[in-house]
Amino acid sequence: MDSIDRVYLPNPRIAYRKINGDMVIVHTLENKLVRLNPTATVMWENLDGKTVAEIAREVCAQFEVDEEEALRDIVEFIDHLIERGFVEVSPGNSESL
Amino acid sequence: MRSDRREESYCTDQSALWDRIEATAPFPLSAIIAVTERCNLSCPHCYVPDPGDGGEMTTSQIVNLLDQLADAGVLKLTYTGGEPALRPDLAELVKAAATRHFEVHLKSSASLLDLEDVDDLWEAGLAELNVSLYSDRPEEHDDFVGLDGAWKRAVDSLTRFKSRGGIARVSVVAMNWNAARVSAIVDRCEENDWPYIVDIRVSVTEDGSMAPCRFRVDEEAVVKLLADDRLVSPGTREKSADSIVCLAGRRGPYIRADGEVWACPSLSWSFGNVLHKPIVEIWNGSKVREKLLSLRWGDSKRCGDCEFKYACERCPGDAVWEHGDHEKPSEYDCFLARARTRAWAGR
Ligand code: SF4
Ligand code: SF4
Repeated sequence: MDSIDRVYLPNPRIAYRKINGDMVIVHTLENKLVRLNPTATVMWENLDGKTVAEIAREVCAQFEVDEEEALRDIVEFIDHLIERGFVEVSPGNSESL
Repeated sequence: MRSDRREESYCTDQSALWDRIEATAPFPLSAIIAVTERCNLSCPHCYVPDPGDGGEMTTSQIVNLLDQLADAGVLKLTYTGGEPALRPDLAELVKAAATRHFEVHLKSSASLLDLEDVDDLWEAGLAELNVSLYSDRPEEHDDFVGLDGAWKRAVDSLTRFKSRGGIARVSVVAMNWNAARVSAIVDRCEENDWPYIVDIRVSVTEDGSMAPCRFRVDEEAVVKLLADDRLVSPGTREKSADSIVCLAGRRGPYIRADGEVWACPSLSWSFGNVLHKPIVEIWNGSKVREKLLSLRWGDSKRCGDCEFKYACERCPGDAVWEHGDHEKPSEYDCFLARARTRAWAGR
């Protein structure tokens, strides 16, 4: 499976909420608390079963960026999220790990 | 452009970022729900009156409350009691909170949990299990809580929860009978990589009984305890006349088993009841809360001028029980501030 076809989901043990328009994520086990900016918030909100490629299309639809750039951004963003334990690869495509 | 679009507000001091976000949020970021006042143990220092008499919210009433708290922006949700594990729906309540994207914490003696129950709570989405330990010696702990085998259950549960990947936290209350064991409890926590909180404060019960106060540490014990520099005091800070007194009414609500909303377990002022009104309306419309928010260190001249105020964690709740006036110091807080000052001078 190509990495852009993978589905990532929020770690079920973290907390997240949109507060004053920004997504705030808490992960006490990793001693992490972050506030995402509006674009990252849109990316996060689309971690709901969509593939990386589908999220890129959502971002392009909402912000004026080309798809290739959006894709690069999302892959990098997801790498950050994995590093911090905020997301997990969906069990449905774990064979790709 | 790319970094601008993706940029996250990382902050090295997590608590500073939490405070900044909370300061502008429409509702506090945390909440505590006491799901029962009932308890299978009989710890004589407990602030929950025995036996609880105010009734208990049902599963669906709590789930409804979770929906309201999630909409309000609450991130951290703590279930406490009494002993929450007396409720057969505990794992269901944990799951209901986790699926609503709270980080779920549970305070329990763990004396009713076997390893399978701990696994169930982990699977349900529990992030933190917080268990009290009163001694490193099993028989002393069991004797105090009134149940043989309670210490072993507590330690086994912490070990299991940690091994599953969760946060296994230990709460220690330093009292006159166990003060000498506190360092050994902390050693055990450090060996097992369990974060810990040591509290040297023993409060009156929620209905005003002074019975727990007989376990309070004396000044010599405070000095000895604080010689262990692993124990720090969260209330120490510079204070001006305009400084706030405590976080009651600012940090999240304490919602009692019967639905009454308090600022914290030590301050018996009700803001309203979630069974009759939405929590956000109760919180934002409470005159009682306004009174708390306006409280300042200098409202009491004695506190404003006090040489011990740096080391003081003045508690309006203690003051209300001691003499009825939340704006004036309680002798207990003055005693603790003096003892801390003496202890630090000797460090
Ligand atoms: S030690 Fe007593 S008088 Fe001094 S600031 Fe604290 S509560 Fe007030
Ligand atoms: S200082 Fe007392 S009243 Fe204030 S939050 Fe702490 S326990 Fe509650």
